[in-house]
Amino acid sequence: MCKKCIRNLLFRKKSSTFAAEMPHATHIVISTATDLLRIRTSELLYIQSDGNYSTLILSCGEARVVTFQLGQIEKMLDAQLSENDNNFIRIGRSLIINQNYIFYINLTKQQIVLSDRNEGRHTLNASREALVKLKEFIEQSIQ
Amino acid sequence: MKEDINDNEIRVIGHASSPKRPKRRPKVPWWAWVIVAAVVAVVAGVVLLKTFRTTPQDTVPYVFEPEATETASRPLEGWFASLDTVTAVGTAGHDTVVNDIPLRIYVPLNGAIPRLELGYNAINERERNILVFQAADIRADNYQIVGAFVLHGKPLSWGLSKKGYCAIIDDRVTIGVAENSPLFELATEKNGYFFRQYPLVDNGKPVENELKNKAIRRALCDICGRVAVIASQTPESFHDFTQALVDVGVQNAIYLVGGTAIGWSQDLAGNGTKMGLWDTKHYKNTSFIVWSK
Repeated sequence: MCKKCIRNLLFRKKSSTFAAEMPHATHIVISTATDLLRIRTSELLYIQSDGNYSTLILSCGEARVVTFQLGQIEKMLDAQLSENDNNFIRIGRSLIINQNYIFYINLTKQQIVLSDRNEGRHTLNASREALVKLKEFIEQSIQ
Repeated sequence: MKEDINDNEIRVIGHASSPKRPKRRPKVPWWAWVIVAAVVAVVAGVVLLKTFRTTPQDTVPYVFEPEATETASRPLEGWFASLDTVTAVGTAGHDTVVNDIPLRIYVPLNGAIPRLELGYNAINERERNILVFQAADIRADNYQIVGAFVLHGKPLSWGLSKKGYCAIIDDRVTIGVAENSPLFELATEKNGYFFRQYPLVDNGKPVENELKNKAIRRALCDICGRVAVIASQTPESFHDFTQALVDVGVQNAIYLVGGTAIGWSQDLAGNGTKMGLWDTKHYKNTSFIVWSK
């Protein structure tokens, strides 16, 4: 068995464990005329806009490109998620993140780092003002 | 969900408390709307009733058909108030005209004791009797008294042929309209009197009867807090006579046998007056309401 497969197995096990730790794990279903993508939201790290397309980054490292704009993906998440599921935050015009994977915010560098618990790091850029608001939001949520 | 988010904003997806998320209206169950609609309908109905229902106080006075005022509806109040209610003995009389109908009012005064009597012999004490009128009617087929009748505590007749009644219990006269009155039983228990007749006025409202023709009409009345007999001086229909009683301020009234039925009154000076035909055929069950000194 290759390292990647073993790692994937571990990811799935940890992801499933991680999903179990998240009390309201759900799926998001993105359906087109020709195919259907069903992703456990707990495994969805972030979504990045790419013009008329969006790239979904999963916690296992896989990337999926869908033919929907970020706003459309946001609407799907809003419609399909349960009321208690408030893990996704849209940052600016081009990014939706899963706040459960937020690892580090640096206002000076205007960077946000997401960690998928598997030592995988994803460094993303966002405006300083948006990161200030995100930082305040997270601080308020722990009070 | 608005798309026009700028790069300096964040928005929590699916979170009601997010500062960027428009607030969702809480879902209201359908039955709550039904209750609200019912309450609104009831309130609206009450408001409409109060707004559009006219009362005598709200009625605009008319030029050509002025409504009767409170004072005009009780024209005899002043006369009743002027009666000697302490020393006078006898029957006070008063003539008036209502709706072109001449009426005579007979009021037995101070110490006059009311009762019912049966037969003509009983009413021949003219010195003692100050007011006498025929009371209940008798059947034309068997000459029995029409309706329930109690004489000095003894029931002589039963039945409901006429809804008006008069009860005399403990020297107190009560006039009313009812199909069943407990005063019938009370009269039997207390050596009282009871008879039935056509109802004419009930709580100030005229009672329609189906009798036709015109004749001298008489009524036993509750007016201005006193008991009186009011008689028309001209032949009148039941309807016109009843309306005249209402217009003169009668609160409750029942019919007394009219036409040529006999009557007797003794005024305050002791002068006696016969009414009706005294020399006609007498029936043993002819009843009279009598006031005596």
